Amino acid sequence: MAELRLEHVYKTYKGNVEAVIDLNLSVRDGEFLALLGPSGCGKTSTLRMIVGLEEITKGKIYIGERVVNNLEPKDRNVALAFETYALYPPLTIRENISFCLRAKNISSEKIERKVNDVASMLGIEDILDRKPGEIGGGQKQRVSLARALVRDPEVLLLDEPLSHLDAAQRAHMRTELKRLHAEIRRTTILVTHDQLEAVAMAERIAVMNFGVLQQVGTFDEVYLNPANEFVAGFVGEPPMNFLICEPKSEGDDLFLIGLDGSFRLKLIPKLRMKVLEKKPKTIKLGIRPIHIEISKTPGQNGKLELPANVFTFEFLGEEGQVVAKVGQQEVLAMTPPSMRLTMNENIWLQMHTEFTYLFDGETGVSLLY
Amino acid sequence: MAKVKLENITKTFGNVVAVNNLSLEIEDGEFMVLLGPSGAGKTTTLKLISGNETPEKGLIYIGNRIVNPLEPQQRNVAMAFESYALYPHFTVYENLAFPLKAPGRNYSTQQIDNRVKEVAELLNITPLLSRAPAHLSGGQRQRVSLGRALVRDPDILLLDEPISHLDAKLRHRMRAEFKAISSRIKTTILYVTHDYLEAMSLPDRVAIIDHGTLHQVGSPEDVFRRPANIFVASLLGQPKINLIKCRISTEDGKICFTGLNGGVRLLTNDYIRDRVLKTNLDHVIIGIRPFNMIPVDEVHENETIISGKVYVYERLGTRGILTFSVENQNFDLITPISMDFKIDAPVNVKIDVNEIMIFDPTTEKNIFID
Repeated sequence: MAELRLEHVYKTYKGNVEAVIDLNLSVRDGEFLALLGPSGCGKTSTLRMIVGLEEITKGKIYIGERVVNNLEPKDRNVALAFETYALYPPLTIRENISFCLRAKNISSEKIERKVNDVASMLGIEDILDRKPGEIGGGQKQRVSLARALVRDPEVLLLDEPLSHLDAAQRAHMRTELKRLHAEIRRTTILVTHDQLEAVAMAERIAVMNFGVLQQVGTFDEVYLNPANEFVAGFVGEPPMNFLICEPKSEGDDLFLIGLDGSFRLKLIPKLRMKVLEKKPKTIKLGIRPIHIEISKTPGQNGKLELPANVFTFEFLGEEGQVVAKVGQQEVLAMTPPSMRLTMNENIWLQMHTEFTYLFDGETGVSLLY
Repeated sequence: MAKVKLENITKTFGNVVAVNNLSLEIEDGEFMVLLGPSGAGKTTTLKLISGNETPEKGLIYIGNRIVNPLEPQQRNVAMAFESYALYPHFTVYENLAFPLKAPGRNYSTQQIDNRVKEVAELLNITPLLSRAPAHLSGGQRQRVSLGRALVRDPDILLLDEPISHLDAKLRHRMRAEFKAISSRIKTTILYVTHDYLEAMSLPDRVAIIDHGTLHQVGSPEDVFRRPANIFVASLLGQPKINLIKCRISTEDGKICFTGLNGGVRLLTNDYIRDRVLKTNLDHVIIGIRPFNMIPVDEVHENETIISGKVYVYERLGTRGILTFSVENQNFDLITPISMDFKIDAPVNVKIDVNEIMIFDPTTEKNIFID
């Protein structure tokens, strides 16, 4: 077990493609961190540099106190469990798991013991004598993990481990991986494009986009205080709604005027101060679907409220979901189990000020920082 | 548009029975979703209706015609696929007009123009008519693909997983979009999917099949609240419904369900008692949806409580999923707000007994449904 630290790490591919730009990140000893971002954000390049499959263009990677830049992959004591399981088809599961140990001159009793230990930890004792072709996707996943863990790595890397399981298996493996980490407390990095996986499993989340680390923090820090529009839109499902508006001062008050004059919101003093300080030309008002309450009548004065019109309403079993038009802009919101809405019905979207976000309309940077 | 009726349809491929004695009626103008896991026989059913496969047994009616002997092009059925398959070198207008220019269709240029514009208006794609497919967003492409299927005015529109290849975020969006479009289309629609949210959101009715056999047909709310059997109950909802094998006994005039693994004891109301007594069962399988359980700090009298240990807690935005274990069986529940739990800490969970479902352990049927 060890801490993992990246200091000013860059990865530039041929033709000046900058995959990773000045990445500073440390993963604590025993921590479970998710590296989250869309495809092409640099997360896999980062992972490959940690493992040693990719040269580091600039910067340093530490595992514990050692700089590992110049170490071969096998000398780094890092284990990688793949998205594609990459199991050897002609070997039994037991042989697949013990393969890397047999290459290392370890006594066969010791190998036997280690394989059995890791197999019982992952609940795959009963399939050890089968071949990869004879087991299911969820089991292959566990075998791939067993093969990584049997080497006793200091850092465990999981590359999109759940992405090609079906929905039910994915939910199950998510639970199991989280539980497993709690039991073994090994430094673990999960690489994923699925925010749900990151949020559900990891202790901290590092969000990347275009090779740049956007924000790193606990779920609360990232979800409740997103640094910018990208993070706000990427973490959370259904995604945050953004409404374009312009700030307008009237006397001592500051209003947000929606595109085409579709709404007019008076800002509370705390938010007014932030806007006056940063002076953005346009503002994106961010509201999470879960923080909107739907009312069929306009509320009393003083509440943040947007007049809207039902575009679609879906009842999804336990609760519902509505897409409403605020002028020309669309807002998605959740509805309680008993509410039914019809198309083109007039509704009012009410919001709590504590869950209202403001971003600079041009740079996307949060105005609340 | 027309009513479509399948009567005792069977289709096998070698030893595999893909569709097994299936009878199903889709009303004129109805939007029906065919829901099932992969391999359930959904796509085969579509192909039997379109005429791309022939059933060994049974009759297929479109309107009042039996269409079994008819070729696909004689059936007036349109199919739109998961991949949009638009002609990249044609404009949107030309893509829409193409099916009307097929050999054997003698439409005048004026008739074609009228129909293309009518469909474009219906789908809100009039401003896109002169664009090439490459310059359309995913949602716009989907609408054009639908338009091409609708332009011939088919009796039934068949859709095979039209949005399942999209990622989660886009799917939310497209589902809503599709819902808006479908409310304007008057055509009879059969829509195949494995995603229960699409089945809840979109149709008038949903038909649930597995291994070629029909399990239940009903409105989304009906199949969700009153599933016919364990298969249907497990297919609808994420996380899945929790199932507990229980022994039945009577205590002070009440029915008591005791989990076979131990740790679970539920006392039920009179309505459930009367129903259970009628069945003469000594064991049942209880189903509890994750939404109908909640962790509590204090336990009051007359509440139904299961005590267990925290297995894992996953926070998902403002809510979370708590997996807890009772005598080595794991259960999932959804917390409405996000909470904090320590792994292996004891937890008391309150159950809404009025919302439980009860299944016969042998037939797996819901005992409340005849």
